[in-house]
Amino acid sequence: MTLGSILADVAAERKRVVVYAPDDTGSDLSETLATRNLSVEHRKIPTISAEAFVVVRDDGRFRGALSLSDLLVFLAPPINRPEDLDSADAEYRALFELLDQTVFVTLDRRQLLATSREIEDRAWRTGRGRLYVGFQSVAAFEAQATLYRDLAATSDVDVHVYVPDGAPDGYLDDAPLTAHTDVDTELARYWFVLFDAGGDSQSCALVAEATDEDHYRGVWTYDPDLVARAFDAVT
Amino acid sequence: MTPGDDSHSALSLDAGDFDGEGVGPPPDELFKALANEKRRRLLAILTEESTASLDDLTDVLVGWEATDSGPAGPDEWAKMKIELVHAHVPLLADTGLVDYDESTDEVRLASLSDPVCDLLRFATEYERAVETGQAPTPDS
Repeated sequence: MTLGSILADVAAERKRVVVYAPDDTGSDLSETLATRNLSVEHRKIPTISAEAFVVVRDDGRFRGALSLSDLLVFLAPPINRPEDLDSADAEYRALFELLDQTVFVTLDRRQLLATSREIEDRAWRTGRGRLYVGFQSVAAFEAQATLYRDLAATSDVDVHVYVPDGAPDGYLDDAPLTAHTDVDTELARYWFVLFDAGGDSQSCALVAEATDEDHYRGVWTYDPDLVARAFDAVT
Repeated sequence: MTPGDDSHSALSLDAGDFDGEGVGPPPDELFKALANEKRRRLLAILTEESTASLDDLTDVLVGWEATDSGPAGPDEWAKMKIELVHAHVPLLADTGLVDYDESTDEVRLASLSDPVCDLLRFATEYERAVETGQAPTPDS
């Protein structure tokens, strides 16, 4: 199990999204949704329906429907998951989880940073569990070092950081976190932030690899199974 | 045709036109068919598409509702399909507004007379006017 095989598996599960709109609303959506590994079809609906909506089908089965505006809010990085989702009913959650588990092709560095911050924030709020974070450079780690030191020191979150060669020895010896500096080259290719809240629905993971200097492909997910697989891949 | 009944020939001709292909269903039945939002939506969809499978119709009605009441999942979908199969589609078929082909699960708009088409169009315009709070303009 590697992070690469997780990305490949998720990419293979392509869902079909049908955009229903009374006019051309959402016709420029195809590109956005294609980057999330969704195939898009457009259909016209009668003009008495004021608002466009989207139906998601997976393997020929209806999985969910939501208004186009809800979908756009959801797809905008960083993770814009409604906070009340945790208490929402199972069907509602299932739809968002379905869309969660889609690969994004082009996120730039800024968007990935924002998504990473969201997961770190989640760890702060939860105050327990495991947070495993992989950096692709020493500089990237140093920019966040204080945050992880504080998180490890002031919460019950078990923090592990994976830093490539070149991190100064003893850099974090005084902080109650685990620093892995013997990261192999396969793992060092990925930007990952994994949070396991201990079986609670706050668990989530971001795994991405660089496609060029400023662009990444990867997945973020709230699926507990996928989060568990990502932990297995790095430990 | 009842040729022996001379005294009522004019009336019976009208009545013959009335429940034959000439005009359409009796007003009570027609208005009953339109007295339900889901049935009006079905008719609006079929006016656009002419033929649609029950699954597709269910997709559209569930999605349409989701624009008001938030995201819907497979449970809502199953409920909607049951409602269509057992209530709305049979009623529309009995009224003669749609044809339902059980072997293909497809629903088709029946060929409707001009007065019925006019009524459906007015119903749509009225509904849109109520939703937007604007009186319909004569030309659009």
